[in-house]
Amino acid sequence: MQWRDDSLEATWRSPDTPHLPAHHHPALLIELAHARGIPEHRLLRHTGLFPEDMRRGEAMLSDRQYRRLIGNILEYDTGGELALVWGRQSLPGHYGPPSTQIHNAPNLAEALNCLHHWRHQLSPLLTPLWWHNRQWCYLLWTTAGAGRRGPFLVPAAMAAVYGLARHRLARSLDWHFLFAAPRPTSPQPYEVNLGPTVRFGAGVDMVVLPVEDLYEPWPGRSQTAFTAAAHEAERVPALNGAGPTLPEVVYQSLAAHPETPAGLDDTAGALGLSPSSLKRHLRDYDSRFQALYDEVRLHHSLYLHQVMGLSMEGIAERLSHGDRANFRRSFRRWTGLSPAQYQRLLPE
Amino acid sequence: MILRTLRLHRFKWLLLTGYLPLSLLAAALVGDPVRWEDVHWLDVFGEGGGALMVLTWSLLILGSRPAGTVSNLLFIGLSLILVTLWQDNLDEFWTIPDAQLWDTWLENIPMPVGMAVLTLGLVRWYEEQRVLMAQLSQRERFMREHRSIDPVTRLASADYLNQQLAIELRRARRECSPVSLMMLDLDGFDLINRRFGAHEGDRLLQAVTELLLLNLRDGDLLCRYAADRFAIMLPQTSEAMADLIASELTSAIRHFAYRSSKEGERVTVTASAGVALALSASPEELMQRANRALSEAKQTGSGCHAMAG
Repeated sequence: MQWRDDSLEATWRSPDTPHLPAHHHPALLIELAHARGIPEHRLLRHTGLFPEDMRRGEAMLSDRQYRRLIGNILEYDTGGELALVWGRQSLPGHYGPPSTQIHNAPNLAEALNCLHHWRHQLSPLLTPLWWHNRQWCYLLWTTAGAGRRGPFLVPAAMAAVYGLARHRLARSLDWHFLFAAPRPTSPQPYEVNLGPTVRFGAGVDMVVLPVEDLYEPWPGRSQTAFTAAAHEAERVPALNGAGPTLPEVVYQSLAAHPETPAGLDDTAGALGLSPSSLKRHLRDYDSRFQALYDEVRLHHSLYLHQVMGLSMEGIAERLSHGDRANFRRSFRRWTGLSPAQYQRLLPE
Repeated sequence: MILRTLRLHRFKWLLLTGYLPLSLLAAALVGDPVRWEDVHWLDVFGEGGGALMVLTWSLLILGSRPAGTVSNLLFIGLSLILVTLWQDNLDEFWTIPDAQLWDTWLENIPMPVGMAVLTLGLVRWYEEQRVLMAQLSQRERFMREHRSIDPVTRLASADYLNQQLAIELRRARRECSPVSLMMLDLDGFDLINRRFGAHEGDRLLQAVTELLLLNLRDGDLLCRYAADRFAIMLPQTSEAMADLIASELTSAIRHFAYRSSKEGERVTVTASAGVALALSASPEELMQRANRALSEAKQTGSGCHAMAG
């Protein structure tokens, strides 16, 4: 399991720490947006980024600049297509050792481990997490740290993993894509870029894939390159030391005890902050404590259902001390669906 | 964009912007100023406002047009109208002696001449538009929605297809002649993007767009569905005909010698197609069936086409 980390990290990167090489996946996004008619100066407005620095491979973006870049793109209505096109091409990419490692991973499961390991470089505002039972693998992202950029970044992240798997397995894949957002007016880009099984209004953003796809060996890989890239990466200072974002730290501290999560005061205390400054710092990330708290509980209830095989009654027992009506209410607040409606959306 | 187009008409603009202050100077030199209290502000509003409007029209029209006869005629017509309105407006502020015949002329002659020239320009514009519409007919048919045009291929998007399918399906039901919808998808487009970059991918899409347009009949509609998928509406087309068109289009793409922009390397492209046919169905249903037929064709292998069962 990838998402529970008992050691609480008490340090995090500030939204102004420059840590993300602009010539990596942000450059691909800028190129694609530019090709779709968004002028470069509009794209880079207020990001403090200059095209020349980016081409020299010197510019490093902070989370704030990265969010601003995505915000600039969101001003142009592209119907979500740009996020998907960007995602489909972004992995393994040309981002140094992480790309080498992902390309040479023995299978998708290992590639996902790399993706999680390099999340601060590859998906700075989203943390991937996944679990599986005997039949299905469930892949999702913590979105509470992405704020209003989530609706752009999550489809891109889904398309990235799908594009990677299609590219490395070189065959068509029958994956299920669930989106929390309601059906957009033009869903066609989703269909073409992600395959026919895309559902909207599904409560959570999640990819459900057959577990065989996780362990099917990838052709043409190099075990040496895979191992060497991991060692090589340790020697690249830019790849190390960025650290997690504050929303990620909070998520992990709550997820350590998902059935009895700490409240705002205790979490702030554990991080050496006052409750109001924790709230202020989170707002700086376009995030909220309550959103993180709800996300942890939702993810845990999905985990209990999908991996532990617990019924909704069993989950209510664990999460709401047996108060089923209370659990149903909470679940509806998190997803907009009742537990039964949600179950019907998942593949059999 | 508008600035770049306006640069084409630099001299016309110089002429106009030169004329306005000159006529102002002439009126000030020759005429007696009207006392401030005697100015008819309603007239100033009507004539001056009219002049301002005409100036805006010429800005918008010239800003959106290439140089050429039609643009010249429109410009001359509008300028002459502007001259009359402007002169009328100046008269509100300066009384020009009747002996100055040029003032009377400027107030009366340019307007009808300008209107005639503008009318001629509009007739030419209409003719030009008909030629352009014939060129664009496979892209837009009878309607124009500039907001739903895809920036890469300049084709209409899926929303427009949806509207047109609804119209065509109504007709199909009335006249009992089916509408066919073909979905056409490039095989391994993802790989081309990865190998040559997204820019080359977009260039290939543009080339394929032109190739498909050349191979379609009048009345067919080519749209970009999403990504590398094209949707082609074939009105009043039987199953056998649609099957034939699908095989023609896929073989046209197979024999297409596309070369990459940088190295001129030959890139082999194949496309798969799925066709669905309907007399009465909703546009969404028809698109869904065509998409399913396309995935079946893709299962068979690259460069194939399939009909929806």
